[in-house]
Amino acid sequence: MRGRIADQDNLFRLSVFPASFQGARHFALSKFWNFHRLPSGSYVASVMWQRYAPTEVYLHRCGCRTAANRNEKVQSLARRNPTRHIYCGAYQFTANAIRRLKVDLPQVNFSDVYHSIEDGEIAHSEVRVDLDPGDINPEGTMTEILASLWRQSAGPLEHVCEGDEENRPHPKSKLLPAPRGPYIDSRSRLRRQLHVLRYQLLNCLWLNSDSQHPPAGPKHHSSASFMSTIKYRICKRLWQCYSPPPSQS
Amino acid sequence: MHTPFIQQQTLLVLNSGSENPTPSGAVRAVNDTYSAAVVPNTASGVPEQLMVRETFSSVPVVWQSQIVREYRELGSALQELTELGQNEDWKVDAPVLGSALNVAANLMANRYPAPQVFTHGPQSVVFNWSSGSNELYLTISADKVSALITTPQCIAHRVDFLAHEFQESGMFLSSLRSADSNLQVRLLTGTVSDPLEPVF
Repeated sequence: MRGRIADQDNLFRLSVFPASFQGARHFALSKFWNFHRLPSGSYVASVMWQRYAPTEVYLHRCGCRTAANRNEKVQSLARRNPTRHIYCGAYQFTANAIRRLKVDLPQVNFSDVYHSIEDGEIAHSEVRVDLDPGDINPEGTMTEILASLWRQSAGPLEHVCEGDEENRPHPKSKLLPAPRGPYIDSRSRLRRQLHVLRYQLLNCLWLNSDSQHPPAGPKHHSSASFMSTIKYRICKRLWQCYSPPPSQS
Repeated sequence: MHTPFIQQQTLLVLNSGSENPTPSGAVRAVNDTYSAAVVPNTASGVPEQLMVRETFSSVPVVWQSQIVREYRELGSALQELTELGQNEDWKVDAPVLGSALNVAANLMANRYPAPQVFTHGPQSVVFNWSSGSNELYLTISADKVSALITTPQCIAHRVDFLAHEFQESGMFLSSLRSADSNLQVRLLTGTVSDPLEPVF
């Protein structure tokens, strides 16, 4: 079981240089989304759920960690002159934009987004799209999917990570303005603070849980396992608070 | 994806019979787009097809050199797509490259502005023109071409062709122009600082 994301919830797709750019020169939709085809034929891509990246600060931290992890991997391969990965920013859209694909495009059989923790990023969610196997022009359909998502996106929310200031010009300057204009956080200040509080509580419980660092733990955690871990930790804390102290006798 | 398309594709056309801007500095700016010859310009009373033709006849050298340079860059970009050594996932198959080069040649012959290019993977190349929030995509595979027009409100139109239809008769371009009568591209005129956009 995986976590359902409400239609109106905000999601963010991160843009990292050079992965999101064609020939490291210009921003390219296909590279930005980088849909990965599974053996089952489904196309999947990663996004961040605002519920667990409640403000721009938290979102950009995810982006900077993503770029840093990629740089670590490249360095471990000991390549000559490895290209440095640089987080540039993110684009916003709603879960509904993804679910509308199967309504708007007859060649799409299935489209949805689920909460699916990956590499310890609790905001990580997975977009999945299935094409009609009888589609005679899947390449054209893929363009239509990308174009449809693009026209419903807002942003970019640009960012320069610590340590990237020296990259001039910073590749974030190559990000294109989204068709829906800049992203505006319409939540009230109070609601934003509540979301931050909720995130910090859940993140704290998650980080302190045993399942965060299992001996040979899975790379992915379902939302169900995430919530069951949280509940377990809450129960454990409550039990510690309310259980009688051990007898002194 | 290439929003600055307008700025790059803009031609500055001097007033008829003049080689210098008017004293006020006003010049007429013309943006030729993929369907610029569709709609009569009701404001001026001059058919836009005629306006475009007249405009181009006044600056053929500028236009030709610009378009040749842009398509030369496009050719280099396409060639690079077949030579990607590090990431095979994005390397384009040779038949797709051949088809894309044919489409590019037809576009150039019809004086369409050079597009931006990206790929989904080995089996297709996508040509993309942007104008503000409106987009035109041509998805070119070895044997098919798919044209997609989007506006911020909707996917306006999609037309699929066999690649040879495009190469043999130029039917593709005329079909694209008449793909949807609701899609209207107007030639806008104004000063250099005005936003120059085809209006869908």
